[in-house]
Amino acid sequence: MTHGITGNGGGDSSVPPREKERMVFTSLAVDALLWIPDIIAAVLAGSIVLYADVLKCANEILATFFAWLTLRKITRGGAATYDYGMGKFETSTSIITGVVMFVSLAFVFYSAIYRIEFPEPIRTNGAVLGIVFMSIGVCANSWLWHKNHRLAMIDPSPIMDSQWRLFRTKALSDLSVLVALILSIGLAGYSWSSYIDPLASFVIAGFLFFSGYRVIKSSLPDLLDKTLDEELQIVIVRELAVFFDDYHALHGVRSRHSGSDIYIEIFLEFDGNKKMCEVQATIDRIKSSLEQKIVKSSVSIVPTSTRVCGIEDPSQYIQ
Amino acid sequence: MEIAIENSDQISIIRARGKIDAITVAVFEDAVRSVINTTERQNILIDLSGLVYINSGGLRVILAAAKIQKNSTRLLALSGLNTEVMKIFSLSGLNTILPIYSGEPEARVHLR
Repeated sequence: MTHGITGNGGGDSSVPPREKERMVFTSLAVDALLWIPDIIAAVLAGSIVLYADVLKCANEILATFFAWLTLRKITRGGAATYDYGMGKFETSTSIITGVVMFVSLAFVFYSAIYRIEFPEPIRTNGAVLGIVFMSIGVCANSWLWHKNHRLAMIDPSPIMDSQWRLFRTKALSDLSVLVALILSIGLAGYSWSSYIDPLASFVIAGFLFFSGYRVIKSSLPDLLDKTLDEELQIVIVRELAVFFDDYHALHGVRSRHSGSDIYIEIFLEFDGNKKMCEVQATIDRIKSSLEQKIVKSSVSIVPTSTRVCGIEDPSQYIQ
Repeated sequence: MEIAIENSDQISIIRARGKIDAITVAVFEDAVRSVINTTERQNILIDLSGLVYINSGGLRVILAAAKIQKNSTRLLALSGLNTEVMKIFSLSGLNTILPIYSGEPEARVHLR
């Protein structure tokens, strides 16, 4: 998670959704363009590592497509249709992507074991084509990695964060395939060179495993409405301490993530002799102060006189 | 985590040892609640000399208890915080609203 704490609100440096959408669409187009020749090279070379790369690319295209779809919904007025943002959509698509990655991983693993059992040299013509495409892939993905990383630093969000990590993984895995193909051709005279290709596909399987694991690990807490991390919880307590004299009792705090958004509910009891306008003014002050300190947070102060998730004041029952 | 409750010189003392984290915070909360719920309400001393960690949930329990004590013009004080726990209290700002003493004798003087 890349949620941060800020002292100044931090909302001014946001990248407009349309620019984000354009950026992700460029990534999607580059992905699709590089994917087609990748398939051709894999078929011509009969290489397991290239097949594994084709599957990995399919997963990445799926992830990028979901990211683009989310941003597209936002820029086409989705925000008005989804009052609580697109967080659930983002989380659901991440889970789907993670599951597809694990299915692909199983396929790559099976194919590699099969090829080790029945070794077969790769075909040179297809492999040379693969080397050319992988070289292009390394360059293009390295460029997209750095560009997306810059955008993610300006405006942190799960989508932009996953995008730059995705391109870093792609650049590195393309480099692995490139090295494996060069070695397979260069050392073709040795009988054991047939094992380079399936063994290298385990590297791609490793990339798939870590990507899938990371995606699911980061999405599950959101899906299950896990509370905020301690770092942010301490910020909430600090605000409650700052406004200690402005409320009568603390009856609980609830929080959750929804995509890049954070929702916090604070249940407070106020002095019964105060006018509603005075209570509202206090609520506004606490809300505004906390929202400035926690980026992308939406704070609700709920006036209540009963315990929600904290200790209760027994004096209210003592006559 | 271990919790002990005792009464001494009109002061309810809650002693917490170990860690107050997501798993044990409910035990700590129950202990604080049981002391506050006693019909004869008195000043409370929370002795944290055996505590090595407290999470935000534990801090909220203390904050809510401090508020209840204040509303009934009773006092709540803390004592024996080690460096790490004191750091958490400083980060959360609770050190600015609660009386914190290095030892129990000083805290007792304040609560009498």
